[in-house]
Amino acid sequence: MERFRWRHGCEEIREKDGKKDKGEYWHWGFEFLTLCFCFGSGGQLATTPAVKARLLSAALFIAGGSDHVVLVAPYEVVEPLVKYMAPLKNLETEYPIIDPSFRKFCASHGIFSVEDFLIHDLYMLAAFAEQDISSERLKEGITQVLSIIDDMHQPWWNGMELLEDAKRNKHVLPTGIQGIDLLLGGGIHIGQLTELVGPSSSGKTQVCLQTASNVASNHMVLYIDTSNSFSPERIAYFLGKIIDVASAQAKNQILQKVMSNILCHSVFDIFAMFDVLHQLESHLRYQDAGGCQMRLLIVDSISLLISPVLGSSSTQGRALMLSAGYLLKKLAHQHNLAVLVINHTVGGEGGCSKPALGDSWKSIPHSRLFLSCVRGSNDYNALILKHPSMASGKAARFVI
Amino acid sequence: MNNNSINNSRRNWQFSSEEMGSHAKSWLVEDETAREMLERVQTERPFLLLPPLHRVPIRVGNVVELTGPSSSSKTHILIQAAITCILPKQWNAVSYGGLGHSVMFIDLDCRFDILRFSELLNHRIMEAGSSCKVGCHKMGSEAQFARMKHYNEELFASCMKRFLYIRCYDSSEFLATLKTLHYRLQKEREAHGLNVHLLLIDSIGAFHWLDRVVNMQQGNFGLTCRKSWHLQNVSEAVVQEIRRLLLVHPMLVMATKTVFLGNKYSKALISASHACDGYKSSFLRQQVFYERVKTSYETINHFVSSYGNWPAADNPYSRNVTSTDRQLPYRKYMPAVWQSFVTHRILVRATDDDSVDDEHPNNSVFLLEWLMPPVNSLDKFTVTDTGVFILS
Repeated sequence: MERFRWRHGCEEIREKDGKKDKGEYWHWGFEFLTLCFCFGSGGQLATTPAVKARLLSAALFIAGGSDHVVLVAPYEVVEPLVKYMAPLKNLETEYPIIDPSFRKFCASHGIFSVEDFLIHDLYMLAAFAEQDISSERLKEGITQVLSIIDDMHQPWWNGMELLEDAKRNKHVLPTGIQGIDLLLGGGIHIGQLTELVGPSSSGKTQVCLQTASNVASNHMVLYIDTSNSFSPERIAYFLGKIIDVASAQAKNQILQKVMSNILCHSVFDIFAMFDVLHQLESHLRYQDAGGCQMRLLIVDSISLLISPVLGSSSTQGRALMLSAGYLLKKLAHQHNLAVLVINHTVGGEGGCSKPALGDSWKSIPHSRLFLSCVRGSNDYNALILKHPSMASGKAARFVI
Repeated sequence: MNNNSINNSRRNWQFSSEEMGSHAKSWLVEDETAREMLERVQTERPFLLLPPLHRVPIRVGNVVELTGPSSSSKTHILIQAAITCILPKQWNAVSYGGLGHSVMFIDLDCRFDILRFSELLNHRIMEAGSSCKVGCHKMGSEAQFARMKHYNEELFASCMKRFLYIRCYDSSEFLATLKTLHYRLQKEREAHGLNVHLLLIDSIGAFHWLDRVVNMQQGNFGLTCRKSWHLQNVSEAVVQEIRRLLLVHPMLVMATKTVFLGNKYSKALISASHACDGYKSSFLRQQVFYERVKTSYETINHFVSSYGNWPAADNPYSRNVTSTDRQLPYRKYMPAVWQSFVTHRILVRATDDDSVDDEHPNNSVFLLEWLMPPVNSLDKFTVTDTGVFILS
C-alpha cells in the first residue's frame, strides 16, 4: 500500500543572505506512473521560471524510478526541462547511444542530466573514457551529447546575414509625435527595447497611447496595462485626428477595425506579466506569416510590477527584473516587435530625480528617453539618456 | 615545424632510461635560436595597438577586461577593435591597416546594433579609400567612381562575412556556446579558411544576478557528488572553457563588464565627510555634531572594512579623479576565478566636460584609464561617426 501514498518532498532554496524560500512538490508514485505538482511557499510558484524549472527537475529525479512521469506545470517550465534538465534516461529512446553503461559512467563522475555536462570538464571526461574498457562507445556518447548541446544555443550569424535581417525586418515605427520622431531618427526601432522615464504626469502614457494608435492602423499592438491607464477614448481621439475620411459612418468603421488591432491586458503583478508574455511567445511562434502581424508591445509601468519585489529580497527581485528584461528583448528580436516600457522616477541624491529600478536595470533597455513637462505650457520635453545611434543629451520638445 | 621539434623533445622524456642515452644527443640539439623564436612570435602573435587602447600593447592570448558604468562607450571600443580586425591590411592597392582575421562576438547583453556597426565599417572603408585617392589619382570619370563603389561594396561584403555573432539569453546558452566553439572554429577554418583572432564578449557579468539566485541544496536528492548550478561553478566552467579554447585557437579575448561607480554607501559617505569637516571647523558646535559624527564614523568604518582604503574627504562623484587616489572606485562583483583570469583591465567612464574640440561638438568625452598594468595617465576620447577619436 506504500506506493499509493502521496509523498511530499521539499526543497529549500537558500539565498546568499541567509533568507530561505521553500519550494514544495508532491508526487504520487505508482510503479509506472508518477504525478508531479509543484508549489512555492505562497501556494503558487512565486519565483523565476529558472527556479521553477529546477524544482521540477528535482522532483523528476526523485521520481526517476518510474517509466512514465506526468508533469503538471506551466508550459514554459516544461520545455527546457524535458530535454536538458531531466535525467539522461529520458534521452535513450531518441539517442540509443545513451545506454545504461554510458549513464553509469556519467553517474560515476556526478553527471546526471545534459545540463550537468555544461558545468563539467568534457576533456577530462573524455580522458577518463579513454581509460575505460568500452572507450569508443563512451566517446561516441560524449560526441552525441555535444551535438545535443549544440542545439541548446542560438544559431551563429555572420555580419551579412545580420544586416539583411535588420534591413528586412527591423524597421522603424513612427510614433506619430513629430518631436519624438525627429529626435529618435524616425521613431522606435523594431527589435529594440525603448524605455520612457519621467516623473508623474510627464506624458508617458499619452506617448504610448499615441504610438499605439499610430501603429494599430497597419499592425497589431499588445498593451500590457498595470495601472488602469489604458483609455479607449484617448485612442479614438488620436485616431480621429489621423483618419481622414469624409463620411462619419466610414470613419466609424475604420475606427472599429483599427481599435480591434489593439489588445489590452491588465496585469497587477510580475508573475501575471510573465504568463502573458509566455502566452504571447507561443502565439507568435505558431501564427501564420500573412495577415496582420504584431509589431508593438507596450508595458505601461514595468516599475509598478517590479518595485514591490525589488525591495523585499535583494537577489530574488533583481533576478526577476533581469529575467523580465531578457524575455522582452528576446521577444523583440525573435519576433520582430518594438517594445516600449514605462518607468517612473524616484528621488536621487541631491534632490534630483533619477529613474527607478536601480543600476542593474540601466543596461537592459536599448534606448532610454527622459520625459518631462514644461511648466506653463502644453509642451513636453524629451531628453535622450541612452540611444544606440544618437548622442545622449539631445533633447527635443513635443506636443501631444 | 619548430613546434613539432619541441613536441618531439617533450615526448623523449617518456622513453626509458636506456634509450635516453641515445636520444640525449638529439635532445641537446637546439630547436631554434632566440632570434628565430622572436621572429616567429612577432609574426604569429603580433602586438596590437588598437586605439584607444594604444598605451599598452596587447597580443593574442591576453584577456582584456573593459569596465565602466552603463553607457560609457565600452561596446564602441569593442566594435572599433572588431572593425580593425576584419579589415584587410591592403586591398586593391588601398591600405586599410587592418589584420584581415575573423572576429567572434558573443552578445550576452543582447543590445548589439548591426546597423551602427555597418555604418562605422563603411565610414572606415570610405575614409581609407578617399585618403588614398587624394594622393594617387584624380577622382575624374564616372566609371572610376562606379568602380570604386563596386570595390568598396565587395570589400564591405567580405569584411562582414568575417564577423561572426551570437546571442545568449542565459548562462546555459552561454556555456553551450563555449563548449561547442572549438568545433565551430574548426569548421570555419576548414570551410572558409578563416582564422579567428579576436573573441569579444559583451558584458561578462550579465547573468551574475540571475545565477546568484539559483542556489539549491543538492544533498536532498541523494546525489551528493553532483555539482550544483550556482554562480561559482558556472564561472569556473566559463573560465575553464575559454582557457582551453585559447590553448588550441590563440585569440585575444576582450570582455566588457558593467560596474557602478559609487554605491549606496557613498551617500552616507558624503554626509559623513561633511560632518567630519563640520566637526573640525566649528569646535563650538561640537554638541550638535556629536551624534552625526558618531554614526558617520560607524559608516566609514563599515565602509573601510568592506572596501579598503577610501579617504573620507574624497568625493566619489568627481569623475575626473584617477583611481590611484582611491584604490578601487567600484565594487568587484565577479568571482575570483574570473578576476585572476584577466590579464589587462581598463576603466572607462564619461566625463562631465563637453568636448573642447571644434570638430566634434555635442559629443560626450570619455576617460580611459589602465588599471592593470597601471599607467599613470588618462586618455580622453570621443565617439564620432567614424569611430573612436582620440582627443589626448
